[in-house]
Amino acid sequence: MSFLLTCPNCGPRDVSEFRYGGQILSSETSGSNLPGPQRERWFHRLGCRRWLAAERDVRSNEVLRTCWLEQEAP
Amino acid sequence: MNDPALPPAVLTHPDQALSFTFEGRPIPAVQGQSIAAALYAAGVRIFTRSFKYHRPRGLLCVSGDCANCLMQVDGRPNVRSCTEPAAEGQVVAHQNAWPSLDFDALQLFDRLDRFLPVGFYYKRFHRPRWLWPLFEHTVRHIAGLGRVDAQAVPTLDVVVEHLNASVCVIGGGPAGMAAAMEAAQAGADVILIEQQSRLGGHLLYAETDESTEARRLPDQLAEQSRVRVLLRATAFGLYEGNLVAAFRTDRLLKLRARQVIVCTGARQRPFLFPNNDLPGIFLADGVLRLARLYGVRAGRRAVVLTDHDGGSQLAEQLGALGIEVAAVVDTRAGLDSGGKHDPWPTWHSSMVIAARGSRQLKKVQVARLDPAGRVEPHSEQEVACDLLCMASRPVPANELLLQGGMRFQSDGATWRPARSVAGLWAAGGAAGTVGLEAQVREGRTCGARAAAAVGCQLSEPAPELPETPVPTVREDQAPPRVSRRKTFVCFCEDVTVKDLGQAIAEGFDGIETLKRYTTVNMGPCQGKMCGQTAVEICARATGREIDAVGTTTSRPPVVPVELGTLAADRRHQPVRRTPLHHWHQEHGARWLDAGLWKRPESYGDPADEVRAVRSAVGLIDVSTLGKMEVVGPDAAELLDRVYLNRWADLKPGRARYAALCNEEGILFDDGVGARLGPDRFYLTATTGNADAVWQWLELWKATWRLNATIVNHTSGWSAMNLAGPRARDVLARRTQIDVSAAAFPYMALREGDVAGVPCRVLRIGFVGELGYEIHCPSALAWHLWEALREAGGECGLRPFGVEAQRILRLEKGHLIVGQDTDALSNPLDAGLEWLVRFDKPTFMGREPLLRLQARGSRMRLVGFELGAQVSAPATMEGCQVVEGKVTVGRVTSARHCPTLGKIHGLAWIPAGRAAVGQRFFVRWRGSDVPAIVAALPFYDPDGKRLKG
Repeated sequence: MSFLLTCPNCGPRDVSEFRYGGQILSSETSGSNLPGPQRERWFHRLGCRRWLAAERDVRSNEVLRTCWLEQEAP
Repeated sequence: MNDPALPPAVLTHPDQALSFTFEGRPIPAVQGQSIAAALYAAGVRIFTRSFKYHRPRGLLCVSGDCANCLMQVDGRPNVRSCTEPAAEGQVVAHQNAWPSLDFDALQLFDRLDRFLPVGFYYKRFHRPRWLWPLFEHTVRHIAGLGRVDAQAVPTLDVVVEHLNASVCVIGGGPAGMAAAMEAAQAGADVILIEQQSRLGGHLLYAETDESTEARRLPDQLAEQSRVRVLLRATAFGLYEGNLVAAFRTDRLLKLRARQVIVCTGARQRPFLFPNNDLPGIFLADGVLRLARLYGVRAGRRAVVLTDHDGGSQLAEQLGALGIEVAAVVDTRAGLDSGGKHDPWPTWHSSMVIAARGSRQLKKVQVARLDPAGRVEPHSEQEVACDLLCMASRPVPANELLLQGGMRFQSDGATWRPARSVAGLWAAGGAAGTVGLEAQVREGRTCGARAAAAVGCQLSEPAPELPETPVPTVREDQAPPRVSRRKTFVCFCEDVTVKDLGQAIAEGFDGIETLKRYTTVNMGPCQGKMCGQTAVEICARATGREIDAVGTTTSRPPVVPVELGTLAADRRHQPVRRTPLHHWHQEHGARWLDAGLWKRPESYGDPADEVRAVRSAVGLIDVSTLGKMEVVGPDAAELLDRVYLNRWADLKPGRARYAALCNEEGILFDDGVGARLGPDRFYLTATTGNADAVWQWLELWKATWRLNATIVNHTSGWSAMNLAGPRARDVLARRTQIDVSAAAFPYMALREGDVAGVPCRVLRIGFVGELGYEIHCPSALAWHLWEALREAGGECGLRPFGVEAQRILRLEKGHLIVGQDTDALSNPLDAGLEWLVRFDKPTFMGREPLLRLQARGSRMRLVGFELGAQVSAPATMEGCQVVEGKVTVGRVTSARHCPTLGKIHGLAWIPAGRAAVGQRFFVRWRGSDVPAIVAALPFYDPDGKRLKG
């Protein structure tokens, strides 16, 4: 795993700077561990030390968008 | 030493002589020369013994690709001696041979090959089953390469270097140099990675009559400021997001590039004929590299074996190096070239059908083959030679490209990129392109297009990638039908043509299963020598096209990397020290690692320290505790939702034991929380979880969008715990805070000055005595510590360490999260059910805990008293609780408790046997030690000492 995540504060950074915080599952999400984009929580451990939300395609590790976790719909 | 008859060797400095030892014998060399080159010049011909049959092996590729030259250098195993520079005083030794390379007792296996067929270890050693351990031990002892010296101290201090570039070019040959030059001229910043100590690639050793322009590129690049050239750097992996992993001697490089151009060239491979592994049989480029890079002639009289146009060119080059060419053997049918005036014969439609010699090549047997691959009658002849140069068609070195997601297609002659990948380019030999002009042109094109992709303005539009001419191949020639025994495909793992045929016949006919079964491709060279050959054999045997067979998956590392290099990231861990570190050090602290922290385990005798706390007063540095302040209108709401206990009803100036679970109801951490004001709380977390708890609070604060701020004071504040019956006396001497029992009760917090330092004082008692946990700004911690020590001198105050604290808390029956609990422990089973406030509408872990409560406990964390005396009871920690032969639980803490004169501990045992007075057994050092469940706490059950 060596993709980049764009931190809203710090810009594009190596994934190793972040800690994975699990999938964001809402009531509409049919389930976890499905191929395709999923919403996730990431913590910028070696940067601004804030939580963000990211949408990542788990098939390609392409990060489609990021925002602060507060801004993400629960 | 350099051969004076040769042209100057480009990587060496002949005026700088040096010497190293090989098997105790001094070997002269010159600066820049490789170890193997110097050994070859000194007459060494056998460099290794093969993996399975212990056959003698000599130099083959002289490029660091194959495993024929692996040696032990200064204790480092498996060093590729053909490229490793010789250094003064080096100690070089052979590996995988006994007693010596020239005479290896295990060469016996070479005659036993009939009994060691492919997959023999899967077939032979199953029955009788009891013999397997013996077989395994023997096989492991015999097989394998170098030995790791467990005592050796790493001499290299490897560090990680992170690099960034718009364009990264891997490979400094003609295509790579051209690509770097073009991209830089277009305005991109470029990093060029080259394995050798000089740029040039094959131009350094191969004569070409084309493109003198390419030979000027190294000098032009030196003047191009936008190109950073990293020499002696080896790229070993290409990961997603264009992350290039590479190493230099003492550096692990992690290079992130927006565009990557791979120009890793192409390589030759061995031909197939019996004994094709004899020392003296080289890849043709290996002979040229040995001579032109390192100044050593590989032999006197050579036979050239080729399957393409490069053969006659090579013969001319050998002539220039003073190597007599006995014959050129061309596997292709005669392309009537006419009017040749070469001084050597060229035999078409011919093949070497055997190599002769015991430890070294003496002669080769050559024969004409008919179109079906059969040896034509009376066409065999023997040619005396000490060198056979195998000039095969180049195979693209495209491993990194495959890792990057590029796919290749075979056109019968070579592999060409079939699917492009954004941000990844292939140029030169790695893309299957032959001919210097075409390679340079392709490099320039890729360089320009990569620069354009990062936003550089090109003066003229980048040209399309050129169509390159496919080399003339005549595929009508069937492979020779010669003996398949001792005809090696894979030199690393001793896999023969016969082995592959047999494996395919057994049904392993896909290239991936063939690889796993025969271990072809799986040796140190990772298929660089054998990959293409195995694919072709598989295709022919199964009647499929090469494309349909495909190639095995390429994975990092492309070249062997030392584990120490890969571990460079982990070698430099930060250390955290409390503000009192120097004091502990000066007072004889024995250190304990607690996460990144260093904590004093004790200052000598933990039992003495325990007695001091129980009878007088002790002082411990607890600055490593997590310390957080949660402030804001929603602070109580946040804590109520995250923690198990209730916060909303906590009064200012009061404190509470607090614990929290994760979403699954697993105990995550514990600590103490106090209310400073209506919207302000102060909490502690355990040393190991300080940051995790802070992140956890931040996470839920953001998720629930609560109005609170969490300030992490872990480093900014220090803390020390003053505990013991005389703690109040000591504290009273240094503070104006009213510390009387009535004014400052148990579980209260007071803010005020202690020894002139603004402090928060919590009256809590982890160790089970009257105690004050005093928090202060870190900068003033030393002053406070000394003031309390001074004040406590008459009261018998003693500093104590973590070990004494562990004993004290065990006497009191307090659990330690992480020691007495693990990733399966919930608070109900751990005896914290009194803490869990199910009457709160919601908190983290409420639902799973409700389910657990309904189900009832299966395991319980209980206190026990040992029914027997054992030495070193701490070694019982982690031991199993057994019933007969069945494991039913485990011990998590055990210590001799000096206050109680007994050995006590905590253990997880089945809930049905957790009643006080029940017996259970602990399997300890081979015997079952009886233990009795005892009521908690063991010490001061009424808490009179604590609350008094």
